[in-house]
Amino acid sequence: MILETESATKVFRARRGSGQVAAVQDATMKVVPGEFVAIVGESGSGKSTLARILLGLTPVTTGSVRFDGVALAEMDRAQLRAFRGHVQAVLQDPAGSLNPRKTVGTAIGEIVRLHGVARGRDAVHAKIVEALELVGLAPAEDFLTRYPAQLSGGQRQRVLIARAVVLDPQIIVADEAVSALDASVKAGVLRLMSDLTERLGVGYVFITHDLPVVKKVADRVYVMKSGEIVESGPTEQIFRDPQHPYTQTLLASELVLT
Amino acid sequence: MTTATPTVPDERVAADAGGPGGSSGPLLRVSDLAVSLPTGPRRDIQAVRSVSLQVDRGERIGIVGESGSGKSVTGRAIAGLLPPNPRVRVAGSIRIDAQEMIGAPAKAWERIRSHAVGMIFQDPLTFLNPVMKIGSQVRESIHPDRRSGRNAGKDPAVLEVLELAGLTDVAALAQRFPHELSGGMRQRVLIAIAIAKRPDLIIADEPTTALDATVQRHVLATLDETVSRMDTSLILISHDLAVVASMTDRIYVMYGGRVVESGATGDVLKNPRHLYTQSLLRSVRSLTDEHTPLWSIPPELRREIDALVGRPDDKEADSDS
Repeated sequence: MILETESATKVFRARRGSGQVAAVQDATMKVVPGEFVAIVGESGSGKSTLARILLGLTPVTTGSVRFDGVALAEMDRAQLRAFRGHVQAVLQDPAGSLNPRKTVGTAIGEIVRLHGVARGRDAVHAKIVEALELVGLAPAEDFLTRYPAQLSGGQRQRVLIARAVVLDPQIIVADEAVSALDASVKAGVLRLMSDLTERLGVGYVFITHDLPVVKKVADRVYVMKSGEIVESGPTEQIFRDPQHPYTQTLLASELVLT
Repeated sequence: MTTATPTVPDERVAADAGGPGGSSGPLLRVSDLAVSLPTGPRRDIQAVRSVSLQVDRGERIGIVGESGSGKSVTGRAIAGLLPPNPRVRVAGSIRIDAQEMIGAPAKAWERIRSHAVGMIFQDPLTFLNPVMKIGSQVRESIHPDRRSGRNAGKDPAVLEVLELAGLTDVAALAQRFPHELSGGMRQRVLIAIAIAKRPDLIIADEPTTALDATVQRHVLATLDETVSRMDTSLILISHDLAVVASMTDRIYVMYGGRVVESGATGDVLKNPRHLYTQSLLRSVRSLTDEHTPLWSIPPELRREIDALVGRPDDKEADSDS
């Protein structure tokens, strides 16, 4: 299984005048299960649009997105449903991604039923509990009946990850999933993500501006600037010997506690 | 409560010898601050418990801690920006320029916020008015005496603070709406709004958390320059120790609503004394150090820290109601 874009371009029309903005331009990239791929770049570089393209949430203007060799644009309903099960999203804003009027148990339970991961009340319940405990929200029973407002930021983020992993995805596209978390929780979530790779073979497209995290966990890195992928390669190589001036600036800007 | 009038100074003001508003006492002195907030229909939590801190004129302090540690609530209490809810209870003392603010009427708070204390939040979009041009929003916080002309977008005072906040092409920018700006630009607009009233103190709560590294660097540099130039004191609230380390003279570490450790920033980071600070630093370093495996505070250690700090666990708080 492979999720890839080929020369993907997304053009948005500007609000005023006749200008057009290529949010993503000619982006070719791929990720396979078990691999940790990072996309870095400044805000406005198009990395979140690329994430949405990979998730099939934003259609490309030209180029293509393929999963397992099939272009998303050509998938039928059943294929799209399978795709949405195999490729999951964990987006930036945990408060905005959770319905404030649904408890944690309901939010996860409804997608378990929707995708037919488990059937029957007990089986669904067991699946939810398993997912919550997997992300360290234990004992799960304490969290099932809570509403998003009754959770901390780190807990909400973990609920989103639980909601993603409950479908046993092959690939998770995570947009700034850990940027706002406290150090200890961040370390815990990252360790969980690597565990999922080791145990279940999950692959990640990890979109972030948090370079130390990239250096720590990513296998490969794509660097984006102004909608284009300006540099890509193995993490170790990018950090040791950045070629593009923008990558060099980016690496030099990072504040690290010494 | 205490209205600091020169004719009837209280003992501390007299001891400061500068009188109210004088420059010899600390700009801000918080003692035994306690804040409880409602978290459910019949449930309250003690978000801040017995916090004391002090900020001198021109001094920069950092408050670090994880989410739920009470650092943001402390910041909001100091700016008088806790939700106006009768169940939000504040006790202790907050003295700004020797004036006691706890129990002070809304008018007094408004005066403080209009000239003494500016606040910068993490999420500029919730702070900025989406249907109002940038220029008009900045002008609102400029003292009427310093405004000129009828058009906020052409007011030199507005353009000046936008430039001071590191923004360029300010005349065009003043005509734009918040959603037309990038995250870094919005955050600079917040800095502009905060400095426009020339406050004595800026409270910046996670000002760069949502920004990427290059932009973060620039926004922090801007904040650094503007507070230095205007001799403004700074309270920088963040969960990011690297950010706080780069910007502050002294640091307060909060956990479970309490200050567990404080001191010169370099000392605390080099020689943390409290178990929580030690654990926090260990996990921060595990995120950047290539040779250390990722380390998060394990549950047993967290219980030990909780016991040390005297934090009632969630369940107990739940059944209190």
